[in-house]
Amino acid sequence: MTTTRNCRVLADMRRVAGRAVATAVGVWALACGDESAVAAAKTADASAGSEVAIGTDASAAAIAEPTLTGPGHQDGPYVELTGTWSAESQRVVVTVWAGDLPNLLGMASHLTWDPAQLELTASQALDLTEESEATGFAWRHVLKPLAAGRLTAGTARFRTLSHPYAYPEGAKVGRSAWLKLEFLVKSAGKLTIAFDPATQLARKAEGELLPVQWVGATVEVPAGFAIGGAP
Amino acid sequence: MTRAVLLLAALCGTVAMPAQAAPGRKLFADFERLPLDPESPYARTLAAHRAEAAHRPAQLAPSLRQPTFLDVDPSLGWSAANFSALGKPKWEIVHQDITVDLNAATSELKTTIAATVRAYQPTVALSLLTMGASSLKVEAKDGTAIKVSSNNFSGYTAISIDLPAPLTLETDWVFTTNATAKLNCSPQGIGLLPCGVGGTYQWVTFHRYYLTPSASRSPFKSTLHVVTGATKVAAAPGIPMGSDTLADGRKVWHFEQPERTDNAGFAIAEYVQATGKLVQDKPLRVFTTNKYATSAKNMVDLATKVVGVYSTDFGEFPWPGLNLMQLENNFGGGYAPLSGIFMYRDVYAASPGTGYWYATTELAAHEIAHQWWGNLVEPATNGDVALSESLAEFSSCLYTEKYMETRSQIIRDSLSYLYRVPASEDMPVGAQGVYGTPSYVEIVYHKGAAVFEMLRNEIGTDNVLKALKQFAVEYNRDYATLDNLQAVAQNVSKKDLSWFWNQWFDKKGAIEAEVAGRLVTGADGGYLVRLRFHQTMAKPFRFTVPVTVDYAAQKSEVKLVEVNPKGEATTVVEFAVPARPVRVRLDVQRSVIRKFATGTPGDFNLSGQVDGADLVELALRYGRAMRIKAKNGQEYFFSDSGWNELYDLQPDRRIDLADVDALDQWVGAVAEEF
Repeated sequence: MTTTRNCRVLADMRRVAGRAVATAVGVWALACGDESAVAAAKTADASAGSEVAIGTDASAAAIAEPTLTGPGHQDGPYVELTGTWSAESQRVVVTVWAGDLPNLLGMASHLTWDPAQLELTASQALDLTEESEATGFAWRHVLKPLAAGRLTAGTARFRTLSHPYAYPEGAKVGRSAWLKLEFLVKSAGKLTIAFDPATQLARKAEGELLPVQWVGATVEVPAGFAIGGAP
Repeated sequence: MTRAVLLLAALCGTVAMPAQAAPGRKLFADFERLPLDPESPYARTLAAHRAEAAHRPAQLAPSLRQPTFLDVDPSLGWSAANFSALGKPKWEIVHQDITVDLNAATSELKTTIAATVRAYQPTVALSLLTMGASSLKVEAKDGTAIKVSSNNFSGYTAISIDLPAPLTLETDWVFTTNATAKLNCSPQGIGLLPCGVGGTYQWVTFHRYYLTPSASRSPFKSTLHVVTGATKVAAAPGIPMGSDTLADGRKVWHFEQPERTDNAGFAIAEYVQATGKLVQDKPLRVFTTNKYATSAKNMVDLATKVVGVYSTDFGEFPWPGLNLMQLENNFGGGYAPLSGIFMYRDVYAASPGTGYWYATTELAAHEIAHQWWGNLVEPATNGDVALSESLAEFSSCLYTEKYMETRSQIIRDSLSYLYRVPASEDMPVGAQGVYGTPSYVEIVYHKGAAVFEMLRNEIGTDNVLKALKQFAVEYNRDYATLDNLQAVAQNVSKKDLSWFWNQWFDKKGAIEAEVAGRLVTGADGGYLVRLRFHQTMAKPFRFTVPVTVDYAAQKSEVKLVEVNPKGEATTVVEFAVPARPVRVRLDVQRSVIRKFATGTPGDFNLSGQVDGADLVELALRYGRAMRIKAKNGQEYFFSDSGWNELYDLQPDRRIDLADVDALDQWVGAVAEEF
């Protein structure tokens, strides 16, 4: 059965409810790919009128801070975004998630956005599965801005030892955070953080292309939001 | 533990790559000839090829070196390109009746030969050459002793016979020699010496009886009689004519060789025979010891299939039948024994589906191909040996590609030349002195096969096969040169191939090029793939390279792209593509003798920019290597058919984490405009 999951992490509720709500933010993020977490998210969201239309979250609108919303993914392999406003760092913090990927050897894409509205200030790539000397594998990443508003990201699984009798081997990725990005807000308005379709690539260990839903997201910066911020 | 990369973002501009390698950037790993792991399939194949090649004069140790005619008497030197062009010789041996009696205990080979001679011009003396005889007695057919002088050297005996009277023209005249030769065999060696006197097998696989100045090879038809112990069986090329029992209980086995050949080898063991039928119901006989009798059927099936395929591709199987004979050491020999192939023991134990079956198929297909290449069409000169060994190996590669569904053999051959032959030993495939290089096998067998493989890119596989078939017809039981084959290939393809022959047979070396790619938008808004080849050799090569363009949804197309540098180091080519490619790959099937390096370092998918997708491409090639470290710490040469040096960014003939690390510095680089 095909289902659509709405995936959103809205304005930082920590301002309102402190650390206790921060946990709820975490649950929101997980809700994009985990059925049990979805239930938890529904619970957490119930008081705010869960299952509301994307970008219409009343509480987010009320506090006039940036929001990030994504359309969610269908069943099957996906890469998608969640995000939150961090009052502490005064940044939009975006997580790129990868999930339901069987036998993934590596994947890559360019992330694009309007540099007039967002400026990338930090980026981090994470391993998609836990590897160590014991597993004999390691993830290697490529993550670099190519131009303003364009970031290349790539990740692939390598053996820790190279040997001609040891061929590449993919990993099953349930749902894992792949990238952590932080953006400085430069102007108000709506913009999209997207995966450039021409650069979307995921391969299995045998080299076969892995069809993946590359799901971007919309960032909305309310007109009344104070641009800039520290540090 | 999670490993993470943290990068502080900075708006960084892209880095355009210069047209040539940045100063100090190394394109390819330094040449270092590593030892071979004796257990590796490559080492075994090489040993088999070397053993076969050991029949060649220069491949033998000086003490065992077989002389050529020029060694014996320069006046006998035969350099005509075509046997038919020689006209009638002054005289020739038209038949030999040979009886051999091998004493394994003393390594003595006694021969009695009745040679039938026919003269076409007045002749008063005969000059002959045979393998070393320690005693010699010659008499006319009627028993009259004939004055003979002989001179032993390098394992051969040159004989001069003073005739009692000039030969009557066009009339057969018979003389008989009784000779004893002390064989110098080393059956324990990896390579094959032309004989063996072990307990189980005794053989003389390559015995030149008498050579005459009329032709360097194939001078006579023969009848061979092999004396064996009472329980032994003799096997030999030609048609088995049964056996007789001698008064002392021993047996004598008879073989008729209706074709002209100078070689009458034989083998003796407690053979059993497995039989099959080749095309046109010609008999196939596989001689193995009883231990291998059950698996001999596999060899019957394999040989039957290979002969059938070659008969279709190269023309009708030319001989009256085919005998495959098992020996005890590592050898494959199909060249020179007409309608006979000697192969080493292991292959007769192989079964389809097992690991060794592939090697068995490679070897059998190579040796069987000699029944066309080397035997039906004979190389006219030492510089034409590619017509024998290169074509036999190429034929075997075609067979394994089609029927074993793998190109690993031809790829391994190409890599063998590229990574095993130092510049100091390199010679053109068609060089007259190519026997003289220690890398003879890697050059003639391996590179030579890869050269014919490249011809497929130039004129198409169908035309290559058509040319070979026509060549075998035109030079049926004749001598030929590489130039003769060029003429046939040109005639078939209607293309000038003089540049190809000159580049690949007359000159040494291989393609070395930096390759950069760009995706550009054409005037009509469509995409163009533009490729730049910057060749680093003094004289750039012309070649045609298959370029695979992969699109989304697993769609791909292969385009043959001609790189014709016309003397310039840099060549730019471009072609239109129907959609934006996911990646562009060069020579995926390794059908070009080349080493490529990325012109935009790290841009493995030739997109024009180094990005995350290149890391994924690198992951697919990770682990491929041309060198391997054994548990004992020894580094060996490793022949990896998945090898692609393009990904060896940190050149050391291993695609490993050093290359992954090296990629990082190039991420973001874009190909310069070209």
